[in-house]
Amino acid sequence: MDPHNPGILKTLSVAVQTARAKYVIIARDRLTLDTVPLVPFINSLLPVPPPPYLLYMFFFLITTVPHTDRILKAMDRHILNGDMLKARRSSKGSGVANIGEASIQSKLRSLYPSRPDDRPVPDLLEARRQSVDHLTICTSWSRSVVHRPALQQSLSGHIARPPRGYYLNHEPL
Amino acid sequence: MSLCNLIAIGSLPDGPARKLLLSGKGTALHKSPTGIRPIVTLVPCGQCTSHAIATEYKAQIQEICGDKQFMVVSYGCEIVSHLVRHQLEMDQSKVMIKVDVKNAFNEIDPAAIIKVVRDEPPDLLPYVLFLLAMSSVDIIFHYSRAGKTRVHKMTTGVPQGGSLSSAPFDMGIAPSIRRAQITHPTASIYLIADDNTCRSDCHSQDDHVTSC
Repeated sequence: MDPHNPGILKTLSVAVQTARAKYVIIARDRLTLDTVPLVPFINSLLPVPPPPYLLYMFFFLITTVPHTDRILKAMDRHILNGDMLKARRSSKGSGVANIGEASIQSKLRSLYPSRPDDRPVPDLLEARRQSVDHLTICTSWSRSVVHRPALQQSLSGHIARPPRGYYLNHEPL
Repeated sequence: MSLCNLIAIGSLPDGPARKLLLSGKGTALHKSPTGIRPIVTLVPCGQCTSHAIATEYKAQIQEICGDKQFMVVSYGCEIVSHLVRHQLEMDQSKVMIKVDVKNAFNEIDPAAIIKVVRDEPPDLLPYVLFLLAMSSVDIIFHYSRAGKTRVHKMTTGVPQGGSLSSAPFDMGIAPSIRRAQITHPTASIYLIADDNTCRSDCHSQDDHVTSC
């Protein structure tokens, strides 16, 4: 808009008002029965409305809203919570981001900072010593299996089955 | 069960087998307003081991994290929410601030966690060393709708998600929170993992944030 010529603004405003008035007239003529029909239907048959199932299909053909109830419910919930951003996202799909997009990739890359050297290994010797100590404990567990009374062989050579609940009470996790 | 035991006691050496056991499936969730929240799900053996350790050592982990950390308490979020509302209504001269640390889970230094675990619950040390002190693990992101897969190396931090993801993080930040509480005894600090809420006088808030 030219600031030195305010007449342009006035012209635009008149144009917008004219367009609004035109569309209101069209909408009233086509969608409402405010005005009396000009022709009293004497020259042709009365229009027959389509059956409901066709109306149903027609509605989903012209509409751009996804026809799954889940998405509509999610949008409704987010709008009620006041989160318009989530409501908009739920119209497109789930909350999972598409990692194929460049923006998502760059965000993910920033979340996983890479270092030139790999993780440091502090006190590796101590870590190995800890492992060896615990391995000893593990070995003692496995030896204890041999000494379980429930698994000892009977005189006839048959290995007795352990009683119900034995492993729940004795098996170390 | 034997494999879970070997993972728990940290006896598996660093190598492809360990990397396979600790690799996680990543899911990038939208986070308001324009961020991404990566959730990691471990393989079943790792998940089972983490859950068993978290259940077994729950009391010790709670003790190390301190009474300011409500992540390890049942209904911790509800408790903090009602507590904050109650305190704001009781004394309106105090102010409440929320300190948000960016990418806290993925960028915490593993050495800080290892130091705490080494000092306080040594039973957890082999597993934490197995988890954090060896070579980096891969987080595999796959988006089936677009057929895209991306692999990110995790060289720092702990994976976000899973049964035992927040416990090492909470233990790692516990000394800092203790120091902040000692430095500012009049301030009330409440934590839910990395979400830090502090209630105190106006003039001491800046000091508290600096301490954190």
